[in-house]
Amino acid sequence: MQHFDLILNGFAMALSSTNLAACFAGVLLGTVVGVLPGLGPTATMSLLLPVTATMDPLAGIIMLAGIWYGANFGGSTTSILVNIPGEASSVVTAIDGYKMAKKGRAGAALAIAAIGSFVAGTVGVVGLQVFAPPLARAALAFGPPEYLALMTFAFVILSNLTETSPVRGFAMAFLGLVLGSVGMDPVTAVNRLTFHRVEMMDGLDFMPVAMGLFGISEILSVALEKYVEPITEKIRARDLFLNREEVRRSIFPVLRGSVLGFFIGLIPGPGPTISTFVSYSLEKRLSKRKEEFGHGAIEGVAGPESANNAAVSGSLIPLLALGLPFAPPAAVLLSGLRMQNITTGPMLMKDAPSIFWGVVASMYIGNIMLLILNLPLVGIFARLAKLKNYYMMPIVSVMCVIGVYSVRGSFFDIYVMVAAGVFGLVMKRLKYPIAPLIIGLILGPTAEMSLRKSLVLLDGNLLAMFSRPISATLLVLTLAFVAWSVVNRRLLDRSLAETGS
Amino acid sequence: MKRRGTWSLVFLVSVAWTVMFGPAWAKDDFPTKPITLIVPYDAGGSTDQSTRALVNYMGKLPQPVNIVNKPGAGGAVGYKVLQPSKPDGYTLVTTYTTIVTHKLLGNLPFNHRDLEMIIGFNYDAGALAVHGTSRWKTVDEFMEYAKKNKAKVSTAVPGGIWNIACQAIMRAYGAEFDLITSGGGTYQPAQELAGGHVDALVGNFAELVPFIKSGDIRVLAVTAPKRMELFPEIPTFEELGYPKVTTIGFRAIAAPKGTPKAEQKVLHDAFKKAFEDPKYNEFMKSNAMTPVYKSSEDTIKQYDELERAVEQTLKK
Repeated sequence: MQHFDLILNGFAMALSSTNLAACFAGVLLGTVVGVLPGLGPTATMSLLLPVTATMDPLAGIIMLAGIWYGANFGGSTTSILVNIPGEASSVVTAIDGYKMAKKGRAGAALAIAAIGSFVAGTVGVVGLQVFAPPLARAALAFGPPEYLALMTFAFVILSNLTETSPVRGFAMAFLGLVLGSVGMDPVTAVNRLTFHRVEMMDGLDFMPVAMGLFGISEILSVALEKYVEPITEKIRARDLFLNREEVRRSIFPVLRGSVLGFFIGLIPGPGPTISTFVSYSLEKRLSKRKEEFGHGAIEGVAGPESANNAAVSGSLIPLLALGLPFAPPAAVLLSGLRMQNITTGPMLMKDAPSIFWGVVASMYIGNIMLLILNLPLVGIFARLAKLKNYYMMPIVSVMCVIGVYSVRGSFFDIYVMVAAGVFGLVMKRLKYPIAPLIIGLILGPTAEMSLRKSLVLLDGNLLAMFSRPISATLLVLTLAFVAWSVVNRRLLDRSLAETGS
Repeated sequence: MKRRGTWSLVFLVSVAWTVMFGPAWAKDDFPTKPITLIVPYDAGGSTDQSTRALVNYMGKLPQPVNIVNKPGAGGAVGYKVLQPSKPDGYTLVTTYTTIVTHKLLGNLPFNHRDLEMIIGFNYDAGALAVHGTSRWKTVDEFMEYAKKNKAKVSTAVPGGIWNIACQAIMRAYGAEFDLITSGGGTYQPAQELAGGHVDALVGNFAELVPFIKSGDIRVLAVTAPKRMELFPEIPTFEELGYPKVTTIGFRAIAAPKGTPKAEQKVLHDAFKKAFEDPKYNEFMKSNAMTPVYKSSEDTIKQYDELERAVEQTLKK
């Protein structure tokens, strides 16, 4: 009953005119930076920190949180329309979303991304409201060996995200790991592969690399191809939205993505991004139409786009209940709380319940605002997909350059993006998959850190991971998965042989 | 008639010129345009917070001081932007202890002696902490265990100030820890300790405060020269008889080498005014950051001292 009072009280606060305005400003800004490639929620939130510090504490935090989940809402737009992920968490969406757009289903892809985000966002907030106190303690149970087991699990699960020869996928994942090792060694502080450039000491920033590999390479390859006048068909209002078949295929991916995303968000690391990869490979595995994945399967948009929004709510649990930021935007939000002189940490929910419950309530409201804001935009954006390439691509190139530069005002990041773009083009021509490289780059640093810490903690005996319940469970799951894949492939080969003969 | 018109025009223009740009010639009127202060760390971090507080409460200048965050590579990006800028007093940077360590590690070709130190203004204290439910109540009790069992201790990466503090503790007590190192603040070590994955941590006291309040973490001693006002019951290592452990994360405002002495003085005097405002001291203390005024010479001495300590740990 007390719980009920608290959330009602939270709504009472979140519905005040100031807080409603702050919420709207946050989600609107979030949508905008989500749509613009390069400029992400982390950069926007830190730029606005000094502004929010002058606001009322709750309003300031509501606005910062709004930017974060709003960006995940809007991040899919450029992924779908031009194959350029607006955010790291929308990289996967580009795989099938862009193919859907090419088939003339841009509207449906955009719509399911928005609806899935809304459903997942709401599911995530319910989870946040109900589970925050008990789950926060569970997050503490993750030490270095548990991270390591999780990273192993993720690598194995994600190893065949796209259909190519496993060797090529492995080669690209390995290259991703190498790129992920650029920067200062986390144990000895020795610089690796930095070529004496201070800009590279922190490692290669993920965003310019991803934008180059996906976006710039796409622009280059369009420029190299012979120009064909696109068949411009009239778009009718009903083409913009999902047909019955698409709705039916999306329901379960959205629900699975919501639950999956929420729990992955709880775990340290770039939760929203990892959740999209996991959701994608899960949907692909469960689908009866595996062959459609990579060629415009709506499940490949619905699942990941739901997962990343639920993951934001999940990430808020360790942040609000423990004061531990597991993702970069969470770190900015933590700074925002500190600048307001709010003592974060395990005591926050007791000392400042109005902050916690006010933010939770505002997230219900913010998700509704986002849906109302984004659905009409679907129509406008879907028409953009019909824009002739020679108008579209130059505009997108300029947006990419401005976006990447604006994050930290560094020319170096622009060079990285262009270099990655040329490399991506070559890889595309040679038919090497890009996604495994991205996974290596994202998971690599966390995997390395946890491996090296685990070696110290377990006195060099990694088998001791089996004596810790969480890491043991994850490792057993990984082994079971490998065994299942091998058996499955054998069975598949046999049935193919039988039907073939 | 026409000629006189021309002359009056010339006269008017020169009067206008003098009125508009005259003050720029007069040295006493520095600053005549906004000053840029680079914070080489992310917005919201301790360096950013303490710098913003200093600027908020500093004495009034005829022009504003604008803070620009240039984060990256443990401060190195921001230092690298400042060092070659024009030495006219209009571009400044907040330095942390990393201004010393980057040169020693070979990351940057310059250090605090290649800049002008305007004023030192704040330090962070380090802490040796154990889990809130552990049986160790004092440093000696912990060391007794640590010496026999090679304790697992979370701390910063080599070259980081809390790694240096940790090395100093090991040397002073003759103990050898197994170090689990993390970059970027004390939050990871705090999580590892609160989750019971390690025996202890050496990190930034300010970042531990919420965990001390919740009872998850117990601080055994601080590496500051004085006890912390928020928790006066926690002893310092100096009081325990180990003055060599004293290590602080020190912050100062610096300008490029060759900035005129007159400009330096104007800036120094304006920043120093913050220390006369009780609200500044109050804000810093409530965030477990210690305000401390140091003149230009004392700031250099403080960094020199730190440099020796780092060299000693790196030699090992």
